[in-house]
Amino acid sequence: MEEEKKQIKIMKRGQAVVTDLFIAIAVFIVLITITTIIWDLYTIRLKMRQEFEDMVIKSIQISDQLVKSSGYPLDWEFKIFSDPDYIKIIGLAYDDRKLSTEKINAFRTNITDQKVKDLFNIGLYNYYFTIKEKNGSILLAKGNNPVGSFNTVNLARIIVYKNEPRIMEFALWK
Amino acid sequence: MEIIKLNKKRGLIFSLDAAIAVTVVVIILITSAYYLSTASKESTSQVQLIRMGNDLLHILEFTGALDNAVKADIGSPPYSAAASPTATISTSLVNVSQYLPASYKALIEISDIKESLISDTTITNCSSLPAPNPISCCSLLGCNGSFNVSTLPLNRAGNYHLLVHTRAPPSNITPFISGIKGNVSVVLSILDYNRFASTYPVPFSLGINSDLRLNVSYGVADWFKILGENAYSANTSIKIPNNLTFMGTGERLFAYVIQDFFDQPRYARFYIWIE
Repeated sequence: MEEEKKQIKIMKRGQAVVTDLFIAIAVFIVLITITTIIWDLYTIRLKMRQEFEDMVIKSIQISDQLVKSSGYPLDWEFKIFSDPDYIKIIGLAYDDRKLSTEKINAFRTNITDQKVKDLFNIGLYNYYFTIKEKNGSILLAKGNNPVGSFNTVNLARIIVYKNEPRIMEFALWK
Repeated sequence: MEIIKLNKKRGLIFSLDAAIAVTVVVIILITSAYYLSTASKESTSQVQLIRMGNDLLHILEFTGALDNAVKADIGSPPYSAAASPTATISTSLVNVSQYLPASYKALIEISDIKESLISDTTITNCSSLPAPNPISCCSLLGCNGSFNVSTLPLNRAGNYHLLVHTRAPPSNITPFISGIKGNVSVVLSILDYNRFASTYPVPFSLGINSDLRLNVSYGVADWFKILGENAYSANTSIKIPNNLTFMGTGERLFAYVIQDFFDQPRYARFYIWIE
């Protein structure tokens, strides 16, 4: 009788330990799976956010450069016809937020899209530059229109062009 | 049998341990995920909103809309005393919606830098001269001699500086001016050829103050204003919603100059949001 009790005791103790192990493994696997999925999800989200933030920051910097700077060299709009590499920095303003007609014409007609991307250092992205009337009608445009793109950052700035308040938009898209 | 019971309890303890651990981990994961997602949610787009507001003020100054708003409220120089303390800027003068993209809204506020036009009072009438009747002479240009003037209603009582503007006589002798407010002597020192300011603050009471007496010789005093009184402010009539998650704001200093007359620097302030 004593021997039998001892046997039961040993068997039950063994079972209890195995069940415990199974539960622990199951919990561990579930936990690892959840953690991996969440980790993955947030890595993707973080990457998307980083990319979006990068696009926003680049767009803000570029739009600021366009509306506040005359570019470098200052007379690039007159020399770019003969020397496409003359321009080092693109800027369209002759005064703060006042855009020069000559610079805009030179920007539209004498600088290729690839050159614009190189100068703005936005090789991975496409861009679309527009100047609009206050009612939204497009006066002029340059670059590729981001039709159907879900990853687009479009910044509007209020500027003076041809002595009239107008809207300049710069879109960066992928 | 007691050992079996004990084993069962030990198992329960292990499971509880695991359950607690899982709960703690899940709570930590959820909390960190929440804070990660909300920490820098709108920072860059908020920058763009503020830039748009700054652009807007720049354009409003360029087009003369800010000047027109001030002019419509205070009139042309020499200013009348008609400036309203809380004026509404008409949409026809400052129409921000024509420059802003759809769903962007902005309120524009213009204020002085604590030199209030609310108390800018033109001196042309000395009919209420107190007895004993002092010698004075008034014309459309202003008043000479000793005379009482009344302020516009002040919004709050306090100690304020006084600024008096004079016109010199044809001989171009610098005018001489002093004052009395109630029983308190007001010493005025010259700022430039035509303007005199009190050398220390003068006590003014709430509402109209009619016990200010000015003594002017060698010229006339044509207007005075109380400096540092509750600031003049005017704004567009749009209402700022209560449930905004973010509203951008900024200001720009501009000078109201019309007909070569420099009035004073003013602040134009924007409040911009997305609806």
